[in-house]
Amino acid sequence: MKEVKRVFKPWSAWNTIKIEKYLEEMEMKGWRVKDLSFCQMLIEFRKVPPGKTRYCVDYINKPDDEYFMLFQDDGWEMVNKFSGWVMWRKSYDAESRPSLYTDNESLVERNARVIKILGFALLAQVPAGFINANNVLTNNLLGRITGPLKLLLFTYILAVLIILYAFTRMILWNKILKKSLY
Amino acid sequence: MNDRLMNKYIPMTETAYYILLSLREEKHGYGIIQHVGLITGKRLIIGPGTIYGTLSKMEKDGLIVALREENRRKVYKIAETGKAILEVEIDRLRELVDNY
Repeated sequence: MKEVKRVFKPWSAWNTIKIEKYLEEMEMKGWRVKDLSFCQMLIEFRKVPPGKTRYCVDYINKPDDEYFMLFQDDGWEMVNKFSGWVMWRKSYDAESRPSLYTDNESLVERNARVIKILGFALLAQVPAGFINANNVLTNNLLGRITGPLKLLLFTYILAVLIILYAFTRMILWNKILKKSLY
Repeated sequence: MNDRLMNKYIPMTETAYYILLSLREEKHGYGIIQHVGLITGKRLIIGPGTIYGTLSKMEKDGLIVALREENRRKVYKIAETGKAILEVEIDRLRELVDNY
């Protein structure tokens, strides 16, 4: 029987619930996360006895000692850290499925941190985008965009669209959460 | 009482209320989680993400103060502003209960 399994599971900021649920279900089947790579999307699992473990993903730009000590005090184990994202896990028994965020207000604030970073990333594209578009149009360079440049341009626009999509989905998520507050 | 703080914290979430209540005695973050779990008969177990975010927010707004650091953990206590805002919330809750 295979002891190690590798899965490519893309996930994003706006559906952290999906990846959390997936990892929890895997562990219930006896596969425990050993390591993550490639922007936390390539997951290596190790065969273990099936167990109940809650996986949670947090976004924190400048985690300090206080952050790590608090989570560890509460019994959470850090699985992986990447670019502001931290993945935590905690084993539990039948009655008490734990969570990092236990009220919607703090979840809204966590999401707001992600939205802020995405917003800055988008804003940063505006001046460069403007200057380049203006340059291409006024100098009639449209016809001179060759093959490799076309590919680069396409990839760039795709990346920006993905960030824009993530930004929009996060804002919508927060809108729904805020409705449940007073 | 500062209008901005009033609008931000009143009415209070259960989490905020219990954090301020807990911090009438100095504690570190995990101490708050334990204490609130105890006094609510395990009904309210606050998560660390929520605690960290709320403590940071309250410290910034002057509701609580970090007294010192012990074993790489901050020890917090409620500040005068926090006590005042807690009083406002208690009055609000009293009115609700008294009208029952």
